[in-house]
Amino acid sequence: MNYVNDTIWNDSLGKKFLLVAMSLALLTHGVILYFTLPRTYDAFVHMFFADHYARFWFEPWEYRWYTGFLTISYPPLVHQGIALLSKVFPLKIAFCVYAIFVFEILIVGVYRFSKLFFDKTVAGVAALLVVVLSSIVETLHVYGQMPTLTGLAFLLNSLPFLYQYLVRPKAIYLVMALSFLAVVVSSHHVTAIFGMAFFIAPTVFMALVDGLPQPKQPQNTLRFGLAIVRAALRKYKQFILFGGLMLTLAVGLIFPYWYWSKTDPITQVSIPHGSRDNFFQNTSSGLIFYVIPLALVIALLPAIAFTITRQRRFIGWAAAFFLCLLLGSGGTTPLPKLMLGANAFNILTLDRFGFWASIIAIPFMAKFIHSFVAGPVSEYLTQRFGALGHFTLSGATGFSYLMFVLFIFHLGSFRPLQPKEVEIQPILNFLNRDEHSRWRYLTLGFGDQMAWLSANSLAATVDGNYHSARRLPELTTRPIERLENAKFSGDQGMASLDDFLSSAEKYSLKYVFSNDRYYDPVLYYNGWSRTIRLENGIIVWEKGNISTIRPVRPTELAPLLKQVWGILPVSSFCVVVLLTAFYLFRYKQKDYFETVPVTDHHYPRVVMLSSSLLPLLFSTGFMVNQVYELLLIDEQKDPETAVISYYNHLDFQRFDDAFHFFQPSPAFTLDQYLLEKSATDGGLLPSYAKLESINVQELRRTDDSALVRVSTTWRTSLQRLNRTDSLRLVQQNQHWYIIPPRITTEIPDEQMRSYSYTLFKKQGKRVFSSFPTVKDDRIKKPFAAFQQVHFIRNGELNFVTGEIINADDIPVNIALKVTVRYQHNITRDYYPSTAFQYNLSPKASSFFQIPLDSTSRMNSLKITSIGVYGVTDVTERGYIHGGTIGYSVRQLTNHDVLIDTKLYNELTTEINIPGILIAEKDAQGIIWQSKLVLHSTVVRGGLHGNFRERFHTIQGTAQLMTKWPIYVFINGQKRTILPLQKDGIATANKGIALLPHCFMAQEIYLQ
Amino acid sequence: MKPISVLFLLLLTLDACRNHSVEKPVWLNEDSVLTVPGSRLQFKGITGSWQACLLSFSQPIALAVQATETGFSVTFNAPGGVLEGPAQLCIWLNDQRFYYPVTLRNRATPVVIQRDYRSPKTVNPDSSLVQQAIREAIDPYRNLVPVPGKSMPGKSMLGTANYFGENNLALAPKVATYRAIRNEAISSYYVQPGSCTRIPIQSTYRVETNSYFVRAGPLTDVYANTVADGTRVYFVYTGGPDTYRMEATVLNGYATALIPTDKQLSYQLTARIANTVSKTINLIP
Repeated sequence: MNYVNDTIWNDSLGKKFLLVAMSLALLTHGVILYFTLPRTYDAFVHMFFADHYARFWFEPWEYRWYTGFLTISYPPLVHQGIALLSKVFPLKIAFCVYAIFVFEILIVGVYRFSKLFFDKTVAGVAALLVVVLSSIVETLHVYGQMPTLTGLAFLLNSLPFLYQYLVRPKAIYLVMALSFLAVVVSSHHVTAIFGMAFFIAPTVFMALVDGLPQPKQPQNTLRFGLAIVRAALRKYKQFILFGGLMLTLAVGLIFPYWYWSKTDPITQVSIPHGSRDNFFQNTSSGLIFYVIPLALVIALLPAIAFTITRQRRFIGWAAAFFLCLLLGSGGTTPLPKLMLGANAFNILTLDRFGFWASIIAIPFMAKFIHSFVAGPVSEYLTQRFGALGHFTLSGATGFSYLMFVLFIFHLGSFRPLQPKEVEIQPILNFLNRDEHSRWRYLTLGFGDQMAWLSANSLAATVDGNYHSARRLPELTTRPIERLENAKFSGDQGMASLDDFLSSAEKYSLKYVFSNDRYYDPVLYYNGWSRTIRLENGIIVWEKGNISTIRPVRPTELAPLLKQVWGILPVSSFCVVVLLTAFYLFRYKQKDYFETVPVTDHHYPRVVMLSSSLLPLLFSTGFMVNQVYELLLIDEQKDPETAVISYYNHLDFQRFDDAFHFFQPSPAFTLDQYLLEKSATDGGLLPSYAKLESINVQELRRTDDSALVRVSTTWRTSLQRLNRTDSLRLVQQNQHWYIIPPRITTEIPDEQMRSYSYTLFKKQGKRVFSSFPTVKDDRIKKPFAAFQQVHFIRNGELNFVTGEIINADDIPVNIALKVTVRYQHNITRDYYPSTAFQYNLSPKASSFFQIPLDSTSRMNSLKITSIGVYGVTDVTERGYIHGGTIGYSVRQLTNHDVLIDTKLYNELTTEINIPGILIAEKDAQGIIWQSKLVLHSTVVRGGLHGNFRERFHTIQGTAQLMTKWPIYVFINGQKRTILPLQKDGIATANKGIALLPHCFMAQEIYLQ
Repeated sequence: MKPISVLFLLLLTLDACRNHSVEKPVWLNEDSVLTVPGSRLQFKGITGSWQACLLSFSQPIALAVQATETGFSVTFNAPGGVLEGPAQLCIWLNDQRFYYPVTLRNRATPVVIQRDYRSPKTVNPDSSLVQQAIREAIDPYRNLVPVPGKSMPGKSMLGTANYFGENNLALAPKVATYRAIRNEAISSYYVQPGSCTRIPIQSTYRVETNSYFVRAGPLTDVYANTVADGTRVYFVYTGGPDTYRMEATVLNGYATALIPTDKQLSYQLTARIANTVSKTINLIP
């Protein structure tokens, strides 16, 4: 390998490989990136940050998320780079241009990094490997983690300079190493911190080993260790200089970040992440976070392990590689948690360790691949299996691995990680219209596209997509990633969303853009009204009587820190560009041929065989498994599998697939199935629920028939529902089929129905002026009155109950709030949740119950008075609450009654979710509690629905608290509570009074 | 010699850069009141590319400048008028500006727009039928014009003229949409019906549909106005062990309900609107 007389351009195959790799990257990733971008986890978040810098370069306060946060909570260079590009290109294109630019730098970085280990040809193969390495492909096309890639790209470029500096102490190497590391620090703090341990430390160790005189290297481990220590001590000045400058750069360049970390530490409850799962228990997490990114590493592990432990100069790399591999395995073993500590384990996303392991392994994988294609391994395989055998093996391995990489490219299609792309322009138009952006909004079911919407609008949302920066207690005290995907965070997530929806006034949250009808019940029953369907299918929900956004005082930051944040990180990149140019012209030619490590291509036979075959077996096995899961799995092999598969298809609303589980019969066609389904389906359970668990119990089984009991638990946005069904199955042609259940439907007498609605419509602006307060077009605040208000204490539970009436001649939307005043001028606000009808027809009334704090907390604060505030506004939606209810009440125990409810839907529309608002009253008419109860299936027009509810009464155990005065206010004016009236009907029904409180079909709402 | 030449050139350059002061032009036909449009203001001063504008208290207004033999003239040629009041006439040449205080007045316009603000716009006899009316008149350029009638006490800031008229009106309790100014829909105000005071109720059994047809009405307020359409009426009836609650809305003073009965049951029924309850009637087939 002596090319000293050659030139840089034609010295080796490696350089040509490098150029091919860069071209290939441009052709493949460059083309596909724009299309994979919308399905990535993080790309839109980084675009949002970039948009921030494009708009407000020197102002780190970002008001659009979480009622405001500081962008100094994330190193800015990547975002500032994209922001600068966005001045030339549209933001999405700018991101793609930046990503490709960084990818090219990464390829160069890997090439230069690999030259530390092996010759240039192997380094060239390493560069080619970057283009198709699954971990990098996944990081780019599935996660969109641009800061990680940027940090890594520059880190890898810095290592050769650091190595050179330690072997041959020249100032230029130190300057170059530090300049590249400065970019790492400015791009990604986590890479900078862990890069010290996993990349810089092994580089230093390798440089120390290489610095030892070759013929005199001690063979004894202890002596070798001592020699290394002595070598390190001899270079202490170099270490101090490098360490000191590095520390200065790390602190100085992103000082505002460290300042923020210290002054405003993260108090977020740990958010579950799949990378911390036990991958044997949760195989899908293992697949995404370990198997896919480390596929080639696992397949070539014998060769990697052999080579990385072969030479002493690789000891540091071996330690880093195996440690990363272990930490990347998440909760599969207890070791990562023990090593990192519970706190760090619960904060970090551990897949990045696996990613770094794959990067460390690149040179070693490249070495084997090179040997496999054109080295000793190739010779061995040719000798053993013939040239054709080797050729076939090479081709099959390459083909199967490329298929595997293609699968990763399209992972988002096979296993959707994000909702379908949402066209945001109609939402932007809505926000810009009628000053809607004066309130906050919330998206539901958008996935990471919520960040894309934010990036394109100046309107603010209460949600956000950067957990570390949020400080709202409703978010930080619960393990919820985002509000918009609350349903994936279980009960805690829905509780957090419920807080925001009921306390919307607190955050000036007026609009919800819903892309998932799962949330419809929780929205409706928290007082939100469905308004319009935008052109993109997004439903806009609105809450009445919400104040416009109140000014939030930004967190103070010294002007100097703002300047530092805006100038230094970008400067680090400019410096590295200039220095690289300077280095190329001044030093490159001279230094180019100085350090070319000799590559030993020897592998033991077992390593050659295993590493040659494993990639083929792994890739092929993986693809075969995917095909099997997609196409060949027998879903009807036994009754239990058939039933579970049937429910699975029902859950995802694949009705034609579900139909094929029914016993084939000419009398039961797909048409008949869908017809029966349309007649019996609908309602909270079939339309708004997700299957949480299923248990199938065989009650009877013969050779060709079975009777099973299916117990299912369904999760809705309001509550869990349990259901038990019995199904009969028969076996035909080796497959089990469900016998279609016989449907008995209620048949109404009428063929056509009529019903007279009185609907109301606001005329809107009559004066064409964008001025928001044209006096003549302002509608008066409607009249409302409190019929009764009480403070009830039931053990640790406290709530305010009462009844309020719409005293006006137009429908009204009422916002209620209880303000409890405590000693020392402490006040706390409380809002009703689902136990209230927020919209009322003229002269209609509603019970309400507003939950307060716990007794111990309220007692500790010492109440002085209670204010109940009602604010009214006209509404044109949501004031029709359902049909006729008939009920009877049976006493079960002292404190339990059974309420049998019959609901007759005399309307012309479906009652999607039948519901009742129950009030428990005493003989005087005082309301002791109020509760919403829902029925799980729809009641169609002209038909009846019956449901039964066990209701726990609290009279006798709860207390009516009268020692604190309760003041009531309507529209800011103090009012008196109307005289209490007895309720004879409630008294006759064991103190139970009911109101219909149903969620209606959309045609009523969209009037 | 060479340094001196350079110094000389430098001094010349500096002198060329100096801004020569311009004498303030003399307003020949000066008047404290500037009537627009059509005024022509004559100025005597050095010739040059003079520009001018009016800085009224609400907006800047561009003026046209024409050079004359002795100076220049400024004209306000835009059609229409302005919001009257104090203003500054600003004329400038290059960076030097001169200001002349003036009072803007429009030429007389025959067009007067009446304004009549009612508060509250919506009146409900349940609370009060008294309404406050504030009247004013403006010209097309939004300048207040004196209105006939008694001036409002304590509103003399605009001089002795009566710019505002105020009345407290006792409205008739007749439900309707009225206009404070004829032909101006925007000035509408509304007398709404009050709460229902009595609920007459009657029912018939309809054999053909096996149901009771119940009608409540005519429903009127204390002034015999028909109660508002859309008013919620609850028909509460008991029969057997169950209590039923059917909701209906008022249309043209009546609320109706069709109560199906499967078992030929008889019911006791009352109708209720807010706190007003009808007598109980028996529904018997």
